[in-house]
Amino acid sequence: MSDKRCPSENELLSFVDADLSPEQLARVEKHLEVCSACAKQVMALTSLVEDLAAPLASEPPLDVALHVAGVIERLDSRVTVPRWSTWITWGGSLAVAAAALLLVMKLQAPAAPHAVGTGELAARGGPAEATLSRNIGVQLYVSQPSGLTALGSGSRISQSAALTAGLRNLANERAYLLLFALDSQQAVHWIAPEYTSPGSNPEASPIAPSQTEQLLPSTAVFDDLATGPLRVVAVISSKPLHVSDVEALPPAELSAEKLLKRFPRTEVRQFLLEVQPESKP
Amino acid sequence: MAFLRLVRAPDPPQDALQERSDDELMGLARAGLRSALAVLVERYARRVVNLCSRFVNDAQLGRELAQDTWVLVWQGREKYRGDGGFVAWLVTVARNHCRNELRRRKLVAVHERAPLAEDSASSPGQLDSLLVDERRRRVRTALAELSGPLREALLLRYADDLRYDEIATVLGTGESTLRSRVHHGLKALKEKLEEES
Repeated sequence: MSDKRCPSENELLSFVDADLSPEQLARVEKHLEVCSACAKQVMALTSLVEDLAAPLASEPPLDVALHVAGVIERLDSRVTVPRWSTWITWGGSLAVAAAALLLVMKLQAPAAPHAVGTGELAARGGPAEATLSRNIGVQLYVSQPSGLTALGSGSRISQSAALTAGLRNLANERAYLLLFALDSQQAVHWIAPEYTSPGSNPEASPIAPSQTEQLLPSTAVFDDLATGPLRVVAVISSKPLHVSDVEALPPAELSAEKLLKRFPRTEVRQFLLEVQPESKP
Repeated sequence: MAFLRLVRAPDPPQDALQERSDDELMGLARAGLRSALAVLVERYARRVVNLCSRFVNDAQLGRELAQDTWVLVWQGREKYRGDGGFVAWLVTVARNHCRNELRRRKLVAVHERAPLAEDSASSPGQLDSLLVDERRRRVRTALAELSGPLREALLLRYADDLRYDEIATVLGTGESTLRSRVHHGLKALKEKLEEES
């Protein structure tokens, strides 16, 4: 490149970015001495980079000692870490297996609505919510190549387990479900509704009236699921709540009792599972 | 018969810890030594606060998230591999936490109020400073409007002063893609600012 020929825009960007080889750097520097148009561009880009690196205007100086003391004081506290899940829509053999399982369940299911089983904890509000409790059934399943396996409190799952739920609503009115899991690192993982983008705030999944169990439309595989205890929480309501109703809360507020206190017109159930480390191939 | 008696060694003095490398300090933190983490916090406090503040475009929230980041580092200290990449790991923890917090708060960008509205500046020095503040506010506003990948690449490159290989570790993206994102981001920012003026 002759000194007179202007460098490309990318070369100028790389110059500002201090990302040129010594030879390229020398050529661009020599060119900038004689070309005021390129020099002007470089000055504008340099100013932009400086502005990006500058502290926020409203930032008072950091008291490092105080900051360190604040961190050490909080070391034993928990920080909520929401995580993304991957949802897999039923299809192919998985759908066939799910349908077969539901058929068996339909044949075997007792007429009574879902009862709170051993280890499954439930909390509910007033009389209206007692109706929710009587009429709504929620059964957790892990989806495996061989089909669905029902989970109860104490069940063990792997870190890559695909979870879903079967829902039954014996009432005439539609109900709504928020179903999420809180792992041992206090990370929140969503099962229903599907929560796929940060800007969204999906409404609770509807539970349509049905005498038979209906599966959620998808299974959820959790991102970075911590091993250890996993608490799966179902918040059932007659009016739709939203993902943000849970996401805005710190982990300490996500116990069944506290959720019920916050949302008194709901039924809250939880399942206590155990996540085991992924076995090495 | 003599029994071997295990006695926990006293914590090394803080001055001695200051000399240790990041990996050595993380090793001590893994063993439960909080003073080792304190040295790391002191070493990188400004950097993490700086990064978090820019990610969420809010100085106060940034400081809270920076403290959270260190709590997460402590809680996840067993996961650190000790391969000399502490800064990249730290930035990864901070960036993930900021992203999650942004999602949680539905906060895309907090646009600060222009300081020009506050006082009437009289001296030329004050005026210059206000003009610079205003220009930086416009840059941050334009930055908040860029797509996530471009914004992240610019922040990690310039606000956190990371090298491309370090950013590649944090984002799990190839260096050439990152160079392209930084270039595109700078061009897009420049164009946005030029359109405005």
